[in-house]
Amino acid sequence: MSWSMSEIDGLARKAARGAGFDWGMAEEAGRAVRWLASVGLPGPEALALRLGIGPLAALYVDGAEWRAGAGALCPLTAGAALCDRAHEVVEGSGMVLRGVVQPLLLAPFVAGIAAQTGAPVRLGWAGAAFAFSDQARGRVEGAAALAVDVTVGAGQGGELPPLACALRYDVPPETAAALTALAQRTYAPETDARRIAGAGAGLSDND
Amino acid sequence: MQNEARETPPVAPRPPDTVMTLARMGSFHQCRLSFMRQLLRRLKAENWRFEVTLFDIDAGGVGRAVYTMHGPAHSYSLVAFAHDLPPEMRSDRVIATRWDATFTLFDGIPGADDLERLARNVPLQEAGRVSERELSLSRANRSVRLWEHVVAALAAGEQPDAEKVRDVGYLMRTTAVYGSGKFGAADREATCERAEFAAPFQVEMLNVFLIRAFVMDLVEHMARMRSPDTAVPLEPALRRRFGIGNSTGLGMAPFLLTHPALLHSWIAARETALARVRSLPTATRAAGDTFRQFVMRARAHATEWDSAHPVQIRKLTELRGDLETLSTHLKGADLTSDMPWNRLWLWAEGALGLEGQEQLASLMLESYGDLIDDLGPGMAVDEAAHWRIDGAMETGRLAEITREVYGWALGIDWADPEAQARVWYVSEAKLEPRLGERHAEPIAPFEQPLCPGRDAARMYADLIHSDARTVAGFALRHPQHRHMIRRAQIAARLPYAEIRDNTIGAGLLPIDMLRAKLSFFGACHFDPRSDRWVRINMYQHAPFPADLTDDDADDWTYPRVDVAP
Repeated sequence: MSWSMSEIDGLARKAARGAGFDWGMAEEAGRAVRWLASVGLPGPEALALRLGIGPLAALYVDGAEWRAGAGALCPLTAGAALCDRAHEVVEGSGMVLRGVVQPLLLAPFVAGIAAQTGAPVRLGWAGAAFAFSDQARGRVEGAAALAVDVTVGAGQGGELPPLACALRYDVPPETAAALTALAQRTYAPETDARRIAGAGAGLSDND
Repeated sequence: MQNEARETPPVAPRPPDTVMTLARMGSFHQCRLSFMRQLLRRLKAENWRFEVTLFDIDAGGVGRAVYTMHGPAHSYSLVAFAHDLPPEMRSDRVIATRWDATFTLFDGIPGADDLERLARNVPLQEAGRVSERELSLSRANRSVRLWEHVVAALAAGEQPDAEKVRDVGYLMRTTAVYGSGKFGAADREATCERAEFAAPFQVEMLNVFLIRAFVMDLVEHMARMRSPDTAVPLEPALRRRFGIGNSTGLGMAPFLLTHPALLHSWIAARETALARVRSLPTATRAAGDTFRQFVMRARAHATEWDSAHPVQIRKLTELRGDLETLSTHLKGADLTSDMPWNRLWLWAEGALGLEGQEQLASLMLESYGDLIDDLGPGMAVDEAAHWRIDGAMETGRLAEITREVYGWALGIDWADPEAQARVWYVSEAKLEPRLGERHAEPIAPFEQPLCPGRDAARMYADLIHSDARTVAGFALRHPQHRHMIRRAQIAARLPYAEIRDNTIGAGLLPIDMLRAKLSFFGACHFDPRSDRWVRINMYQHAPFPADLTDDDADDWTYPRVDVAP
């Protein structure tokens, strides 16, 4: 089914919140998935897979090498933290993120760094490379391994194909179902009292 | 005059602490910059052509119609489905499943295949699905008593009772107008590069403008079907007195909180316009006369505006009293020299209530289209451009911003149950925002982030004890404040981005939020049905699409009066 970008953003935001992220991070997830879908990349699928793993340990920042306190590293947490350090990312000599799951979800954040700083930035892992400047370029070959090491840093990527903009995205039914089930957790269960009181009408509309 | 303008320091826009309170926002009135008025001015200036390309509705009121507007570069078609709705199914609430009429605004001119596809989906509204060819999805219910009265009168060859028309003001009211990618429709990004949709909510306003035209044609059609030999059409002047109603509940209220950069753009445009007019060193006698005429028309408007809700009755009494005070003051006032509008404004701040002040602000703009209408298209904003957190900001600066923007909230005792009596949540049943009682039901776990005051206070408590040097470090340690960090940084750049009032307190009236938003649409006759549900009238007295060529497209928001000022 063809989804609008605002539908995808909303679904992703609610799913991330339903999976336990704070609202601010859930908003990041919504924007990130929307960005990926708007260049035809499987953002909704990557988010569903990421959220399917459950909570991951907090990010541990040690200079140019980032890892989770234990286990795999969350691409949303790491992506937001990278964006918050946009200038360090482009001014330094590159950084390594160890053991990232669903690294595709990092791409929108790194694109954001390029937009924020005006400097060209590259992102890569085994089988994938992206470059962001005035244009977004990238290539992904096959699905990433369970957790991969990712490099991020200043750099051009003229050899990579440009990413094409899309206004719609076909979310696979199983992905939509998984994200919808998580989003459902943000809704309060219905009761009669709430149904009547909550929206606040009660007068006749036959007038 | 230009030399004088350079010598006199311009009046600054009103400070956000003054403007962004719920009581004041709940007293806003439509103005020249309202989205309906921007739309009609454009349709007229660009000579948009109107055409009914299909009208196929039977004697039972069931069928379909297509109403098309042709602009310089694009055509847009309202696709309308009329239904036969039993009274027990009629509800304005979002829980309704059937309506008297359902609509979509199609991007272009629909073909037979499109109409068949839309016939299968549009009548279902939320339960159906539209596509990127559609820009909106909406529905409307009849005002039963006025509808039947008008059909019966016209069928009998008579005009309906003008008093009854005045009392209700519309034949149908829309109960939802969805745009921007909802239920599969095209995203705003798909059309916002088109000049006609650059300003906010132009798709929705065009949609409603065409619904009004369709509804008036439908009522005349039904009269003809009932009695072909005797039926007459509405007399043109009476016809204009019908607007299109709208019934709006809580679903709309969170919008002002979830779009802070956009809210700033709307308020900043109106405040900038007011400041420009106040800054004029002199005014012509003609401008003063026009203004006096508008004050009289606003009085007529306030007299026609009815409500049964105690809060609105009190506000209407206040407004009518304020307009009387203003009229009396104007008898001896000099509106030509010595910064006349600023003097008038400063007088009003001491002499009028909030209703009167905000009405005056809108009225002062009426004579100055050349000075302020350029602000209209800029009321849209690229929200993404304001969305990224500046992680390099020092935490001390974030604390300073918090004190500046949310100082009012830092003074509230949030442990007091009254201070956070309410919870904004989304119901499982209709996926719509609602408001619950925090201390009476276990809904806090489902709370939506629509309480910036409390959340700013929470963030501030952690901020002043944090040893993080930058916002990046603070956000990493306190991910729960990420939402609030973003808001605070937006509000630091865009001063009208935040409502500077408690949006979850026991005293909250959500209708204040609804009125603020609807006034920017251009709505009139706010008639709250409860503290969280309001009916309004849109396009009352406006020309119809076919009249735009010959009529004034902008001189309709206040009723005309025949008395000299």
